Amino acid sequence: MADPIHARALALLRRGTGWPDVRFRNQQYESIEAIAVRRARLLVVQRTGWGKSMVYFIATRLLRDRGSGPTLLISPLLALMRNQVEAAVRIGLRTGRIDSSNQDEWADIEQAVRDDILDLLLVSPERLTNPRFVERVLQPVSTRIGLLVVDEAHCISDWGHDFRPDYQRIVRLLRNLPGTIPVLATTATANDRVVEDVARQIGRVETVRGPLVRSSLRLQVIRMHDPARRLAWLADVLPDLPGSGIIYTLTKASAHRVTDWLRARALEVVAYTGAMDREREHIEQALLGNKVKAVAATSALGMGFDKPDLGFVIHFQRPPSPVHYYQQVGRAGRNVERAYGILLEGGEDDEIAEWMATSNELDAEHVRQILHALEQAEEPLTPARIEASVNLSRGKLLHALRLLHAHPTPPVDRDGMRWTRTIHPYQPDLEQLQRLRRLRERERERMARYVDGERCLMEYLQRELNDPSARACEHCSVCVGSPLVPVNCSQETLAEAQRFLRRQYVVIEPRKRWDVNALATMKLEKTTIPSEWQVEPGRALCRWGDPGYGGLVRAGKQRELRFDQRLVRAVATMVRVWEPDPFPQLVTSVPSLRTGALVPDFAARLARDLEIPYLDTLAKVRETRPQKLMENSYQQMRNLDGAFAVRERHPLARRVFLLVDDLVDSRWTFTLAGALLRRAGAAAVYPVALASTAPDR
Amino acid sequence: MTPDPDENKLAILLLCSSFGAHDSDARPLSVAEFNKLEGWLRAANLRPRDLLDPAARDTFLSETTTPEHAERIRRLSERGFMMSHALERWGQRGIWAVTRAEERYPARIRRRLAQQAAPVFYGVGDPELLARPALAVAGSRDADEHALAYACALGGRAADEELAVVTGGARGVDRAAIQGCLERAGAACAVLVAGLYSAAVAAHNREMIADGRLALISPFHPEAGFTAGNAMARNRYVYALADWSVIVRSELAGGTWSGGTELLKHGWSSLFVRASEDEGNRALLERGALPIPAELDEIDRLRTLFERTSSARAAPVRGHRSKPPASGEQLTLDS
Repeated sequence: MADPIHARALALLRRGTGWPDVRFRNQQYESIEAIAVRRARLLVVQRTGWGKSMVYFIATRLLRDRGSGPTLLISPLLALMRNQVEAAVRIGLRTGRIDSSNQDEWADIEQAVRDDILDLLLVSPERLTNPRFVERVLQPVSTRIGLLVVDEAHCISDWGHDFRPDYQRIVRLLRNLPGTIPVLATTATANDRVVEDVARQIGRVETVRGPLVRSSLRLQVIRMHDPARRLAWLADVLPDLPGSGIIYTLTKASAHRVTDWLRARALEVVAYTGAMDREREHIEQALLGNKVKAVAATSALGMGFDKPDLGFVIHFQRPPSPVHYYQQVGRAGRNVERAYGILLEGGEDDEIAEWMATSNELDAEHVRQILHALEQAEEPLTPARIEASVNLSRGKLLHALRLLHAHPTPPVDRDGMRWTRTIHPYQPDLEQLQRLRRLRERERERMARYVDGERCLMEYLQRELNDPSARACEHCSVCVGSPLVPVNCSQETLAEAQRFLRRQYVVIEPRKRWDVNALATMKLEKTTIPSEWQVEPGRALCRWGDPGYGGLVRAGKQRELRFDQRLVRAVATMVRVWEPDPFPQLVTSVPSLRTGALVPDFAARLARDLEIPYLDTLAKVRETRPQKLMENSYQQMRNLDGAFAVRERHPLARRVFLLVDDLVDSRWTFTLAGALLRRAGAAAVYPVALASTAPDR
Repeated sequence: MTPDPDENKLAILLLCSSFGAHDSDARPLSVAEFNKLEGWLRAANLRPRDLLDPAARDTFLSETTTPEHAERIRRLSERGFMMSHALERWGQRGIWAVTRAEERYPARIRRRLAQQAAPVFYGVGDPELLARPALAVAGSRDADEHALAYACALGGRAADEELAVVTGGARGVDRAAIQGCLERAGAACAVLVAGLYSAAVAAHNREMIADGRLALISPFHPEAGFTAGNAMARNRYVYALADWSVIVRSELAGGTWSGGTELLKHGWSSLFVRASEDEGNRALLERGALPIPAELDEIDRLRTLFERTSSARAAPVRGHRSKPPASGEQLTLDS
C-alpha cells in the first residue's frame, strides 16, 4: 500500500511490538485511521489481547506528529501494564498517570504538559468527579486534550454486568465535546444489547466488533456444593495446572479464606480484593512474573489486567452472569497453547450474588432522609454531619451519595469534602430498578444453564455474547465428553479442609475513638478512648453464615435458644490456641434483656471448660433497640449510651477478663462494656464472640 | 439518540468563556474581540464552528490575523475537553450556558445591546422568566432603612401586577426588591457579577429556583470572582432586561449613578427615579429621568404610571412589544 499514513502506522506497530514482520490485526488499522485521520468517534469491541492499546498508542503518535494535544485515557486501571508501557516507549510516547496516590508527581506532569512533551495521560473515572482533584490537577493538564479514550466502556450501560455510576458522567461529558476531538471507547465484553446501549449513549459513534473465541481455552464445570470439598479439590488440583492463574471468588472473605487455606497447604497464593490499595499493583506484577501459583481475587482483579500466558482461571463460586464469566475466564490462554477455565458451582452462589446486588441498590427511605438532611442545612454538610440524622453506615451513605451524584440531573452535588442539595427534584426510578432486577434474575438463570453443560461450553458463552462466529470448540469437557481435570479430592485433604473451616477465627480489633456527643451519660471530654479504658484485641469463632461453625451459631441463636456444647469446646480451643497474655482469670458476659440467659449460660459453660470462674459483672439497666438496626457509629453509640452498669458487689481490681457475647458487629458493645469494666478496675478485657457479622475484612 | 450539540455554540464558548480557576493562560476574547473575529469569519463565509477543525482554523487564521492572535485563538479552541468537563460540572447544579448563536439567548439583551451584548450568558432557573414584562430595581448597597423598605414594597407591588423584578442581586436595595417580590409570589431575576456556581445551590435560593420563580444569570462564567469592572459592565444587562427601571437611591458617584447615567444615554428602558431628597436622585431627575413618587401609597397602579409617564415625557424607547424584531437579529449566527 502506498498510503503514507498506513506505512507510518505499520512502522509504529512493528516498533511498538518489537516484531519486524508483524501485520495489523483485522480492523486494527481501520480503527487507527478512523481516529487519527477522520477524527471519528469509535466504539471498539474486541477481546483482550486483540491490541486495543496499540490502536490508541499509534493514533496518539500520529495525532501528536501533526500538532494535536495529548491523549487522555480514562480507565479504572491502576496503571498501564508493563508490556504496554514498553510498547509506548518504543513508539516514542511519554505517558503519565495522575491519581491521589502520586501527588509528588503532579507538578512534574503538569510541567510536562506545559512543555508539550507528555503524550498520554491516565486518569480514573472516579477522579473526574472529585472537585478538588479536578481543580488542582485535571484542569491544568487538560487544556488541550487531542484524543479521548474511554476504557471498559461497557460500564456505561446499565444493561451491562458492570454498570458504574461514574461512567454516566463520562457520557454527559461526551455530549458537549466538540465533534473534532476524536473519541475511542473500548471494551472486551459486551453483548448486542450492551453494545447498542453504549453506542446510543456515546452518540455519533461507529462500532468495530470482532470475534471473541479463544481456541486454546479448555472449559469445564464441576458441581460441588460442599465448601470443604471445593477447598480440598483446589489444594489437590492446583499443583498440576499449567503456569499460574486466578481463582475468582464472589466475596472478599472467600478470597482471603481460599488464600489462607492454600497457603497453609504450602501453595504460593495471594489474595487480591478491591479493599486493598497499595499492594494491588505489586500483586499484579507478581502474577505477571509467574512469582505466584495463583491469585485468589474478587472481580476487582480484571479491568485491564492482561497476562498473555495465564494458565488457568478457576471460579470458586458461580459468577452472576455469562458476560461476567466470559470476561474473567477469557483472561486465560491468550498466548499459550492450553489453558483451563474451570467453574465450580457452590450452593451459596445465588444467595451471595443477590445479597451483593441488592445491597448496592438505593433505598428510597434512606434517600429521602439524606435529601431532607441536606435541605434543612444552611450550609453544605460533611458525611459525618449527615450521619447524625440518617441511620446509615458511612460506606452506604457515601455509596448512596455517589449514586445520587451520578444521576443525569443530580439532586446532590459536592462542595469540596461537603455535600449540598441542588435545585433538581428527585424521583426514584422504580421502573429502572425493576428492570435491573429482572435482568439480574435472567442472567443468573443463563449462568445456571451454563453449568448444566448441555452443549459446548465455549459456544454457549459466545452465543450469550451474541458472537456471530459461535460454534462447538471441540476442547471443552462437554465436547470431549469427560472431565479435563479430575473432579475428586483425597479424603485426607478433605478432612484437613474441614478442620481448617472450623478454625476461621476473626480478630476483633479494639476501637480507639468515640463520639462524646453520642455518649452523653458518660460525660466524656476527649474523642480518644483513654488507653486504660480500652479493651484488648479479641476473637470471634467464625463469621456469621460461614461454612464451618456458622450453621451451629445460627441454630443456637434462632432455633434452640441455647448454644451447642460443640461451640463451647470450639471457643475454648480458640482461646487456648490464641493464648492471650496475660491469660484471663475470669469469664464474664454482656447482659441482654432480650435474649436473657442465652449468653450468660454459654459464658458459664465456657468458663467451666477453661477451668476459670464465671462472674456476672455487668447489668443491663435499660432496654436498647437491637444494635444490628443501628447503621452508623453515631447511632450505635447513642443506642448503648447508659445501657450498662457494673454490679457493685464485685471487686474487679487488677483482674483479667474474657468478655463474652454471641455476635459482634460494630464492636461498640464490647468497647462500652469493656470501658465500664476497666473503669471499675479490670486490668485487661478480652472480647470473645461466637460470630462476627461485620462486613468482610 | 443523543442530540448533536450545536457546534457554533461550542465554538463561541471556547473562544469567549473561561472554564475554571486553572484554565489555560490564553485569555478568552472580549466582546469587542469576538465581534471583530465574527466579522472576519463572515467575510470569509465561515461560521464559528469552522474554527473547531484544526486544519480549517489554521488556514483561516494565517490569512486573517497576526501569528500571536492566531496562537491565542488556537489555544482557546483546543480546550474542548476542558469545556465539556466544565459544562458537565456546571450542569450538575442546573447551570446552563447560552450563546448569541442560539434562539434561547435573552431576546431583550440581543435586541437592545446588539454588538455590546455578551457572547455568552450563564444562568440557573427558568430562562422563560427573562421574557416576561419586567421592572428593574436598582439602588446603592448602603441604602437606609427607608429606601430598603421602599425597594421591598416596590418588589411586592411589581409581583401584584405580574411584573418580574430584575436586579443586580447585590445586597441592599437589590435583595430587598427581590425579597419583596418573592414574598408576594412574584418572579425575579438577578444578574450576578460573581458566584453563580455557589448561588445556584445556596439554601435561600434553591426552592425559588426549583419553583421557577427565581432565575440567576450572569455574563461572567459561573466560577468567576468579583471585580469592580465586571460590576459596572453588569448594570446594563439589568436595565436591558426590563421594560421600566426604577432607581430607589443613588449617590453622586458609584455603581448606581454610572448605571443610571449610562441608561439615560442609551435608553434601553425608561428610567424612573424615586423623587426623594437624595443628591444622586435629584441629579438623575435633572438629567431627564422620570420621577416616581417618594412614597409608594401615592401610586395607584405601577403599570399605569409607567406607561402614561413614559409615553408623555420620554424619548421613544425601544420597548420589546412595540417594535418588530430589530437590527440586532442579524447578529445571530444561525442563518
